[in-house]
Amino acid sequence: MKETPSNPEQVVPILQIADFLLVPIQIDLDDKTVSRLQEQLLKEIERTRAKAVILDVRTVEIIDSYISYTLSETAAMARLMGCRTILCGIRPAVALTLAQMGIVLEELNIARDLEHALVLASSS
Amino acid sequence: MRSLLEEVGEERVAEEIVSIASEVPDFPVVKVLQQALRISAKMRQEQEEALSQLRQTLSELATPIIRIWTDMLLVAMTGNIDSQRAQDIAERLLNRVSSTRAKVVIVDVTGVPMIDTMVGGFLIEMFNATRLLGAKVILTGIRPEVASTLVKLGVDFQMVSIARDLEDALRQGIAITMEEAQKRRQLALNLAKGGVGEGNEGNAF
Repeated sequence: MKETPSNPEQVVPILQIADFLLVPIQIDLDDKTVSRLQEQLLKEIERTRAKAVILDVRTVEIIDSYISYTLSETAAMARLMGCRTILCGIRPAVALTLAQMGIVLEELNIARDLEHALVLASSS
Repeated sequence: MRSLLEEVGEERVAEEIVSIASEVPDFPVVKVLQQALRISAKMRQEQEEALSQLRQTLSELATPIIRIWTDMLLVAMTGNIDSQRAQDIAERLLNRVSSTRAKVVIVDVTGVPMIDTMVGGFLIEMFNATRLLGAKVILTGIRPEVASTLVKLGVDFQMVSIARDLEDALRQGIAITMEEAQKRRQLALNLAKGGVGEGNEGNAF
């Protein structure tokens, strides 16, 4: 497991496991951070030529429509770069709110936990 | 005295009491009324508590969530579903799915007499939310009249698999869990060998 050097411009840490990037999101996402996150992710995908990105949102308590839209958008961009995006660890309350808002996150693969995410990432 | 009577809010009772008070001057109207008000308020509170507890128990009884196989939950829905019950079922199911990390959720609607647009919309919301937790949903027990209503209303359950009966649902669910266990073993082997998914590099680079 390699860790990318810490950098003040980075919003979240990005860890590399084999061909996958693991991104634990442990900050509150707002409109500004989420677009910086998108930029950082795309750069990192280009640099590491990763096969899949796993976004872990276990500690994120609020995912609004803009954030979910930006995440889907990021996934679509990553797909164009040959990289799958997997989202894991959505809280039950967040899931219910997203479903009630009619958001289904088409572009993203959804996993239960990290293990399931790795299984999804490796099976293409 | 006046304010107390206004609190009671019953004009006829108030008139009666005023007449009693004028006929029997030393009757302790204020004290008796205060006491009566206090007692009735307490009784009402107790009743409301009992009622809300009953309602909670009823909704839990009406929709049991049962673990029927490894990583598999069964939601047996019965009776009419209103928005309050729908919200309650969705919350309980999602918490359960999240805490048990269930792979498959089987939803049996045999006991639901009518599925209208409201219930259909609620089911779609619940299925999408369950999907966001990474579990697969298998729907079963749709009776002919329900199927006909759903199609006429334009509700299509494209995001879930449908099973003929509970047996079929169980079989599908076991197939899903087995397939995933297989993939997991493969991943572990590949990681142990030092490379992941070496056979399918081509699509990524």
